[in-house]
Amino acid sequence: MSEPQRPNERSPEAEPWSARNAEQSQVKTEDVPDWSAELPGERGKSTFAQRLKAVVLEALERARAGLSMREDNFFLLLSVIIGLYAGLAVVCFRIAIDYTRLWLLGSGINPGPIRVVLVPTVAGLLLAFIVLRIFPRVKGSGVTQTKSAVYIYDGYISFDTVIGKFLTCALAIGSGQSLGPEDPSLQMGAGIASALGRRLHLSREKGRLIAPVGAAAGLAAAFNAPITAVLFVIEEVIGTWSAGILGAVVLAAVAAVVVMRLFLGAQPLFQIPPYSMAHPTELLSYAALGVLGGIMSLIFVKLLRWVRARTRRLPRWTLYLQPALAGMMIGGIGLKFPQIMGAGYEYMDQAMHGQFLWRTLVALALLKVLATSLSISSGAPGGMFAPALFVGAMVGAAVGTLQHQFFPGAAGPLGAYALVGMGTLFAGFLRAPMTSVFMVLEVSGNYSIIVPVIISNAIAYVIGRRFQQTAIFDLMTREEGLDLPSMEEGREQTTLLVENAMRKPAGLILKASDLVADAYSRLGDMTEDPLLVSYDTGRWTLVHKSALQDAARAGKGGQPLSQVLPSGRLPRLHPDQSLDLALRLIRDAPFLPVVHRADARHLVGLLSLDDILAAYRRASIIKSGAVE
Amino acid sequence: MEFSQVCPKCGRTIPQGQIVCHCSMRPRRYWLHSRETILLLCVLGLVVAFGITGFAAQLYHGRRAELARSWFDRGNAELKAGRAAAALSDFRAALVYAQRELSRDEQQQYELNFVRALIATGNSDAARSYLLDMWDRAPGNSPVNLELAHLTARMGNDADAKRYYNGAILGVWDQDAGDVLRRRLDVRLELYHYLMDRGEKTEAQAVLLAMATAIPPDPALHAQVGQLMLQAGQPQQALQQFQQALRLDSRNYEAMAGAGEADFQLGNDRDAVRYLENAIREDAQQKRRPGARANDSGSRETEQAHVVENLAIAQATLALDPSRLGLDPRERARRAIRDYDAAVIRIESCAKEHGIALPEPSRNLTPFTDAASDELAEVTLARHIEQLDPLMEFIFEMESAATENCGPPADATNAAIVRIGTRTHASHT
Repeated sequence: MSEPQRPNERSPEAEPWSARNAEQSQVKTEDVPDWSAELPGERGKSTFAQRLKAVVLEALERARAGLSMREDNFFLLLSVIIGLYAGLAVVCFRIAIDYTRLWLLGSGINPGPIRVVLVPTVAGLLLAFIVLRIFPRVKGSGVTQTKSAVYIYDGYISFDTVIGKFLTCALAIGSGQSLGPEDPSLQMGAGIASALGRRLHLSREKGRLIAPVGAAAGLAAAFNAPITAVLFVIEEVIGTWSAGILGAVVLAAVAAVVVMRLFLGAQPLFQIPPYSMAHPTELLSYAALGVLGGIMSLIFVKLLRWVRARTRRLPRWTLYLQPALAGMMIGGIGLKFPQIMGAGYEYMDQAMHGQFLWRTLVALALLKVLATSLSISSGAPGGMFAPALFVGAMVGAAVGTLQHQFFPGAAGPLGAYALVGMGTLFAGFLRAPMTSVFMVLEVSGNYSIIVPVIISNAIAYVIGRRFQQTAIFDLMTREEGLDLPSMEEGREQTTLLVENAMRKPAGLILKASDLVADAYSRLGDMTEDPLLVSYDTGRWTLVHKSALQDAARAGKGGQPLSQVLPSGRLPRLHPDQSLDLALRLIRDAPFLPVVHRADARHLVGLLSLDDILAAYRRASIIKSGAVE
Repeated sequence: MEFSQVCPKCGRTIPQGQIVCHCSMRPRRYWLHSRETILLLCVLGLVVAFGITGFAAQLYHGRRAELARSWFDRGNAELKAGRAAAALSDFRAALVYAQRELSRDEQQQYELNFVRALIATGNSDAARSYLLDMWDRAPGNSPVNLELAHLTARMGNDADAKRYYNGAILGVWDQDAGDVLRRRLDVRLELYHYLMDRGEKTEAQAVLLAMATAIPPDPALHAQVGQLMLQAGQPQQALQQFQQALRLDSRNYEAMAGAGEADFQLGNDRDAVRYLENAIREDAQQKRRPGARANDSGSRETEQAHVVENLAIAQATLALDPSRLGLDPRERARRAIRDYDAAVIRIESCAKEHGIALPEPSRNLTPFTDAASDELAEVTLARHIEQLDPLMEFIFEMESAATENCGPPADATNAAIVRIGTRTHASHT
């Protein structure tokens, strides 16, 4: 296994390009020389070739000048281009996987016994050599690696990673390792985006953001599902909802899907009949599926962790043999159950059409978990999405088969159960609940199934979260020594609001229409200073006692406060706003008014910097208490 | 040659020993690295990439389609050779490659063959489940409905079988119009035979009637349906079909023979004779044509014999029926006496063989039955023509006794007399 990268340690190639950008982005059009100038020694004469060259260069220069645009628009255009490239790359990737499989395992669905064992073993040896010697950065599924690139390496993914991922994953999946093509597609898309971003001299901030754009494009093409890809990238890779990048991500995803559908067809991945509920009690079976899916997710995570822990303890020289050993074991299982080899989409389709007995389905689910754990832990590059979907489809189909057997009057189509099962594993194992709902809808093109999906996914997610707090991707990054943000954990953090910190308004509050003399006379022995002044327009400001005193002594006692006060405006807050915003607004003000949203003149509290800090301190005490 | 020490373009001093300023020495190629240029190159690269990917995708799809077809052909060969398990595996492989590569019709054919392989390996439940899944996706698909009909019929589920047969008849066949009509008719025929096998005659007849209204202008089909109607005991409707067939093809042998049979059953002997004579003539002409009916089975010969037999009976009926319109009493009497004579010969022969008692005529018939000669009997009967019906009843009684004890009549004369007697008896009861 590779050495874990230390946080903030940038890859050597990362720095120069971002440093170069700053200089090269400053080139201006007017600096272009006059191309019709004479070359040295040819003063006074220009040949036809030279004149032609000058004309061409000038035309290019005009085209180049015409393409100059604002950074935002340029970013969006680039997103589309990235989407197209990523889509093309994923199409070629899928074709490469298929051809590799045909070449290594033959075209039949039941390859011969020698091939089944020998091919993954020999391919595993080759894989290990390529990964360890030639493309060391292609290990893993691709999701955590892309996230690391975004948060640690300013979005840098080298192009040779893209090439290496393409070749090694095609070999791994095509030779029968129990892995999927989606995660590598995500990383390849990110890598293409990163490379294009570097060549196009994007700023550092944009360069960091361009990788997730490519990731969404790659995943969208792999799944043929743009919404799923967008949601997953936001949930897992970026970790936050950011309106600034959302448009680019969507554009790239859509462009990639258009390319994919152009070359590989627009049909949904799985065809199931339109779903309609046979009986409301049918929902109970989907709830049961959610429970089973949650349990299966836990088994998957625990087994994967266990196997990874065991393999990481082995001596370093075994890294060259681990993929081969995993391949051999998978081949051994494949002698009886060839369905567990490769991504397994065709078998998911068969499960949806009731071609397996329920015992076989359960066996396939468990064996797939084992096979995938072996493949991933061995270091073979490839993804976990397809295996998770496979396990889910088998569990779902098993539940559906039993439902048909024992409660035929309350059983929907078998394909619906398998589909919901897929979403269940997506939610429970990969911990992407929103993505899982849309994924099921997009891969089936069947909206009517949304209620069972939500029920089942929610239950599986809760079970998964209850017994395994950290999601699999986060687990894997932490095992690598990386500490990356997690949207799931972010959801757990409570946002502190103004209402958590504000104090009740006390003391004298003046009106802007009050006379200076009246206001001064009411001061009395009040210790508060400054004082709040409210305007009828809902504006608020502060006035110091000394200023009132000076105004009174200057003979302005008969004037309203609005005429003597400075025109400065005090920022106002609302109770539901975050303390983070309050911190940014308070600046030097001693406190800020907290007003009602429906009536800005209605003061509901006051908030000072001390109040804010006290609230944060209280929150951290509570959290540390909970942890203890 | 003198050179200026100051560059006219940039205003800088040209270094000693150089002819031109640095700014003119070589073009600054930074524009190659500019964002817009690279963007342009990206777009050009996209075009190339699309071309390469398109080529790769075309090869890929072609390969998959080829694999689908080759596995499908292999599966069919295995199925024909009786190796259903191997066929099943082959069809599975074919389905994997066929997805998104072949047309929907082809894929459906693959799926149906896969189902047949499932049935052949004894996986009827799995086959049913698969077919139901196909049906869920396309409930109006006729081939799927037909396959389900076959399967459920085999499983003994009559209600479902009938439902799916009707689904197949009324559903969508992805063929051209002529074939669709033919396919629908074939399914109706299948359903008819299925219902007849289960003794559901009423429903079968209803199917037959529905079929009659949906036949395309094909004389062979009309004749075929006519035959079924004859078998179902509907000679009038059968006659209509045969006549329709003859309108389309006046030399259709089956239609002629069938129309003759229908008229024969209906008692329209004159028309029956006409049709049957035409049928015999047509058959003779067809036999004379070189190479015609070289592969005829014995069924045609049997049918022809039946036609000849019916013709003889019909002709005899015409010649022997005393109740035909337009006959004078003498002629009626002559025919009746001839019928009587033939009946007597038959019953006496039967009585000798089986020792049965001969029926005794009533007293009012004895002048005719005991007359010294046929001529006398004819004359007497002609004078008392009101005794014709009782005499015919007695003849019918004799023939019935002979048929009951010695089997149906072997010759056309007695067969005709039986028919005449049956008609007379039926008209009196």
